[in-house]
Amino acid sequence: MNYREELLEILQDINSEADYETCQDLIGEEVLTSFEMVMLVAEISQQLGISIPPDQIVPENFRSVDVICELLERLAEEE
Amino acid sequence: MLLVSYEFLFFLAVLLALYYLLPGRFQWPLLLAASVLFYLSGGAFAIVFLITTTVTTWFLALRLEAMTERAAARVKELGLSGGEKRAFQAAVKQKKKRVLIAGLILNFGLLAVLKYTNFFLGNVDVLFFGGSGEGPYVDWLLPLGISYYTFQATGYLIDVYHKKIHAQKNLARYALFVSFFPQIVQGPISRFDELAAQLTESRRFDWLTIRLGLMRMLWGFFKKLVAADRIAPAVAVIVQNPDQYQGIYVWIGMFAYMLQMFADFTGGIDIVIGAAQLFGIRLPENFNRPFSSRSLAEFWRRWHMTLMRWLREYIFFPVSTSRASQKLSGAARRFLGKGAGRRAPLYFASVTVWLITGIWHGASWNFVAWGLANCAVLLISQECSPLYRRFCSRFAWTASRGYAAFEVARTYLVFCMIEMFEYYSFDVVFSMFGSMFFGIRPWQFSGELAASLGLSAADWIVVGLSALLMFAVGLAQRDGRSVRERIFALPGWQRFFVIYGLFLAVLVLGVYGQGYDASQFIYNQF
Repeated sequence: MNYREELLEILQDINSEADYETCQDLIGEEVLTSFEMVMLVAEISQQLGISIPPDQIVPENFRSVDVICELLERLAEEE
Repeated sequence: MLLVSYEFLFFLAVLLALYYLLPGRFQWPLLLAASVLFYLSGGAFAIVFLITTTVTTWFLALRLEAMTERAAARVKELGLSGGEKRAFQAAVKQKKKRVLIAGLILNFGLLAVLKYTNFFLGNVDVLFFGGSGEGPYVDWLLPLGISYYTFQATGYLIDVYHKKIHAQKNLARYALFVSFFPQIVQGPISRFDELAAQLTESRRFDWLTIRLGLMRMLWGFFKKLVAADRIAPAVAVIVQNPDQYQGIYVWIGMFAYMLQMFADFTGGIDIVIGAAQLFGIRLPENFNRPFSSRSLAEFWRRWHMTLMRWLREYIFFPVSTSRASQKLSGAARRFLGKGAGRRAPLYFASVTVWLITGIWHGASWNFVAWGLANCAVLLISQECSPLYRRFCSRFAWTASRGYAAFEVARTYLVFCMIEMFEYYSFDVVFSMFGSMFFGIRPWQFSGELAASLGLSAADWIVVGLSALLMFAVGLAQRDGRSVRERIFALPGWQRFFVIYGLFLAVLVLGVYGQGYDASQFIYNQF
């Protein structure tokens, strides 16, 4: 399943002015801060029913929207 | 053995000679022996606690890895798949979690008992005996570096639990990771995957690396001996007498205190990182020009970075994704709406982290208040960020250098003001705020009161010039290039002038002398 649309919607809800779609280094460019990461994880858990374990909350898994989608697909498969 | 002592320099020189004379396979055992010797020099008994932490985390990590391997083999052997496999893995995870929790309780329990017993007894005294101060207080010495090595060792245990790294089978190699002598004093707190392999590599003498290490140490000595220790008496006088030193003195005290803390802590870390570099070991950086931050959140990403990384990875994210957080999020969503549901884990995890950060910095309610004040400012900033972004997009001048400078000054001021909670009760802090803004009379800084700060005009000039030099180095680091490498690339006489100038400054302007206790580093007390 592709979560891209839902994910973008959640991200826009957190910060409507950030350019999530094209940014390839959300963490390095500080588009996504650790506070926003926590809100994103909470929202994903509530809206998509996917729990992201703390050991998966690492910069490499939140680099871009596509990378976050891959993480969600992997976790959904495991669940 | 203090990092700023002749004993330490002698110890380092002998060790360095031996290290590069010995064949590679003996180098890391030598570092371990030196680390044990260094630790013993601070008192023999404390090493019992270091050994306890080392052995328990080493043993439990091995046990965790064995459980993981056995479970994988069992899944293969029984040909489990789908739901059966998941159920089996969940059961194994529960068992592993129990082992991990046992290790964490044991080690943080030790830290808590040794560091916080008097804090606990003090509260009992106030609650039940009216705070007479005559309660049954204990007289325990805090083992050197206990907060740092406990965090480093438990971080390793958690990483093995999460299968991020493999457990170290060799106890001696692991013991070196926990006790490596320069960093055990005041950090930085390293991760196993970034440090352990470096410690046991064999190395050849490389003059360039040694030169860079020595230069870093020299810069650390300058900050500590010339700036931090020279301003220290004035800071102590102002901080201890808030009722006497009002108005302009609050500002002077605040700037002097921050200068002392910055020079002391970053200077100490420079010495630690430089000393490790002499052996070809690269420790993680702990600071990234913190006073150029434009917000408090950015400041905390640049100050004491390895502690904040530890708290983020091992407390903030796990708490925010815990079952309790998820329940809180669900309840907040049902009763207060979607936004509250999204924020609930953030608030819960932030308050937890800042309570821990506060109490880590000191066993008193003042530090709890300091932690919560930081937390409040960070969360309010987060809530205001959409408004702030709109404000910035509307007014072009917010992109100017002047506005950036204003933001840097504002962050500095906010941080300094929050620092006051470490020392004073709420009423004193608020009276000082009032006096800072409404009670300034510049002419107050003269006469007897100014003289009572214990610094001569020459001292103020030395402190001022040191601050300017640190500021200039900070500016030179803006592009990310190493200042030391640039100094070594200078033509001969210029290089000579800079290096020997700094060396002479430490010798001539450093605070030494009889009766002077080459003062402890502020961050040694954790």
